[in-house]
Amino acid sequence: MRFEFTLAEEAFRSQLLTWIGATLPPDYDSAADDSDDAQWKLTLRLRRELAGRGWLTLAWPKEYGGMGASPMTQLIFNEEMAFQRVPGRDAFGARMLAPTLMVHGTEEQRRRFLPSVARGEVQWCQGYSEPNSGSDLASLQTRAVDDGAEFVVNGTKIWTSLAHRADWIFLLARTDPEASKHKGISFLLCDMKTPGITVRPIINMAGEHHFNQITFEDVRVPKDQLVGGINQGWYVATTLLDFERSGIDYVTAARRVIADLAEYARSEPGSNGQRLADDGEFRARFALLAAEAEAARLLAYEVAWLQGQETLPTREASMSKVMGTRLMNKVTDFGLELLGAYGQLDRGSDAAKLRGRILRSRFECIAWTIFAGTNEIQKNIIAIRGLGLPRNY
Amino acid sequence: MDFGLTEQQKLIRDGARTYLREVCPGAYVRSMQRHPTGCPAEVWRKLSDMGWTGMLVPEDYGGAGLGLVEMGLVLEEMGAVAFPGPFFETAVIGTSALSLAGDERQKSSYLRRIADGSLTVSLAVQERDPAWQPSAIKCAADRRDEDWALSGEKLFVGDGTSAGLFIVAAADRSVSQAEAAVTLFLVPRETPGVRIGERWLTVDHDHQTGITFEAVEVGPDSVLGKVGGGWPTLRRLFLIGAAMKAVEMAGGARRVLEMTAEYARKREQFGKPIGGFQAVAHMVAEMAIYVESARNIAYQAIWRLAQGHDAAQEVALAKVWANEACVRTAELAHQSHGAIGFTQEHDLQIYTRRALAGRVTYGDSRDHRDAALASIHL
Ligand SMILES: Cc1cc2nc3c(=O)[nH]c(=O)nc-3n(C[C@H](O)[C@H](O)[C@H](O)COP(=O)(O)OP(=O)(O)OC[C@H]3O[C@@H](n4cnc5c(N)ncnc54)[C@H](O)[C@@H]3O)c2cc1C
Repeated sequence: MRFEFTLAEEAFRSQLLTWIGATLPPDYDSAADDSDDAQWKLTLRLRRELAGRGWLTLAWPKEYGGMGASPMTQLIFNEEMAFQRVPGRDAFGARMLAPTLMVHGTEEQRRRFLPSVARGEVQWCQGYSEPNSGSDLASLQTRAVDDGAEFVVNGTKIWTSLAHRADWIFLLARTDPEASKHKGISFLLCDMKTPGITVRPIINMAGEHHFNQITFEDVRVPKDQLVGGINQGWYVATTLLDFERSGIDYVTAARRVIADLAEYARSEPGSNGQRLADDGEFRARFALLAAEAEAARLLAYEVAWLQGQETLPTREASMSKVMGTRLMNKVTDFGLELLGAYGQLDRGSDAAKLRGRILRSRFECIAWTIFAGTNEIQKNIIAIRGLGLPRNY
Repeated sequence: MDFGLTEQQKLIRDGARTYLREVCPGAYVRSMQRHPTGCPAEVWRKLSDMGWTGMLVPEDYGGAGLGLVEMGLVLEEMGAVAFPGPFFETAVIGTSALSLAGDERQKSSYLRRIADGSLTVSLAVQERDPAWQPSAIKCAADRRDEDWALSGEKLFVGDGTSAGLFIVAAADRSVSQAEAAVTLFLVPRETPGVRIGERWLTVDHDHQTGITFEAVEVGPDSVLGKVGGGWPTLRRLFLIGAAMKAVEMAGGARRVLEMTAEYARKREQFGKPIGGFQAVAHMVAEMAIYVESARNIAYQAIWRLAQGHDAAQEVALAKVWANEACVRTAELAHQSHGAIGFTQEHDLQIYTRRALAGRVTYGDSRDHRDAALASIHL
């Protein structure tokens, strides 16, 4: 048992913090997101810088040009980047697709696709969900038909994050409609400039353009862009879902909100001469949230530790996701109550407190309990795989 | 970060699990509710023979000289079977108090007797205002030349009905500053003027009571630590007690989760196991999250204490979260069990009662609030 990072890990953390301090523009508005063009430019710039330091590919094995860092070092990286709200990380390419190619890709595919991801030059997006296939992903209907040297793809993908910014997409398509639903799916890589692809924006409830709907009309995908063999897509897809899922981002975002709110409660004059920091009700709620956040943080650490022990912490990763995402909803909601009338002011309002970030975050995290496997699906996993309850639903 | 156990720690945990499961089924817990100490002499002897009562006692005084983490592993298993009796107060709190503040003579007489199983100890701190604050200590310690006279009242004295030695917190009325007034005294049960009340009716059927001190004369050799130096020791005991209580509570919650998962697999309605109804499955999944997170945060606090850190913040966070997580776990377990869990006959209520008691032992969430808030600079 040891509840402390090693000296080497702490050294890495401070090196990272130094870089962040030197790199993040002083006027950086962390309430912005990637739908904002200026913010997106910053994202791309920082991504190149991360790539230059090898941090974009921190956890990749050395044989693929990575730094071979442990899951715990990767966790520290994610924790600090999330706490300091630094843009630039690359979830779809560096964290999801690349490790998948390392396991399931051909040598030629690795040589072709990994270097550009490592350099931070290519934006990938993830084409899994469809209008009629969300949690029941394996029911997906997008078709890919064998046409000699190519597959011909038809169908609709939805909720595709960053599709409008992406150069490439990895997608799941049905290649055998006769087989049982998990067994007829293939995993394809496709250039977003291929004729027949149309990307339509979907504006989210926060007013941002983050995700999209994509239609594929007779889109021709060369066969050497099939990963893991025909009808093997489900296995490829699930490998990808298991990569670095400690949940540290969720709980860290929540911890940062708590820290910001605490500072606000200390520094604002409050009413009737009483600071918010001295208000008994708020103190009680702050204390419980701080305790829950610490507990959630340790759960994420435990997941990374288990990953370092070469085990697959399915149950713990699901617990961490549920706990961290729910916590973020609790703390942002608490934040709006703490801000009172100011809580309704959005980013851009002169009178907004904390740059309107709490309201932005309150919206943003509504999605967190839904994406990456809804919290209900996570609880199914905990109950069935973690506790051996019957699978009846 | 390392969430694993050493080989020795695994042996301790497995040994504790095996022994406690065997000795302490629900029927044992029930019979101990009527027992005068909550632990029969032969079981206590066994705990001493296995080295548990002396686990924290240094080897020089006949103990095993192990640390708080190892003790935490035993307490987690004790929580898992709702093991009753004076173990916590004696082997954790009594031993820590004497090790922290005792002089050579006190240590060699009392620690040895804790290790060999011939002495039980109880901490007498709380009073009418049960807050863990120096100003709440009203029991008076008045100087009589070299000696002291203790007068006042102690409430919520755990195992007060049976302990052989009390560690009593009292305040010197001539000292105005509350913290500097507190001195700890070692008061044997049979000391004249010590009036031990009837055993209280409590949620956990434990052995608490109130004690009155009527001009109890004690000599300078009964002062534990320095005169006026009681509060720092008490504060440390409060932290140790809270962290250890948190892991014991997490152990109880873990067992409640196991019982509930088992029941959900077995109990059938509408022709299938209720664990196949998602509403039930999700309650059980929620319980698992509470249990795992409460356990981790408790061990973090214990590990920090074992390293010799102050750890006030980590302990506070651990106890606040254990208080929440373990009681919520109990509620979910009851809902998943239906009426059977509402019966006296079913073991679930034993754990629910324990969780409710644990929540207010070694600090309720209010007692820990300021230290928890210090972690976020509030
Ligand atoms: C911001 C955001 C970004 C996203 N980005 C991407 C992306 O880049 N690429 C991509 O492919 N997808 C993306 N998604 C889609 C995401 O993966 C899906 O939203 C998710 O899988 C849930 O599917 P759904 O929205 O269709 O909800 P549904 O599956 O229809 O679920 C609706 C409700 O029913 C519940 N439910 C469904 N099945 C069960 C069950 N078996 N047991 C219990 N409850 C159940 C759910 O938990 C939920 O509460 C994104 C979503 C969001 C919100």
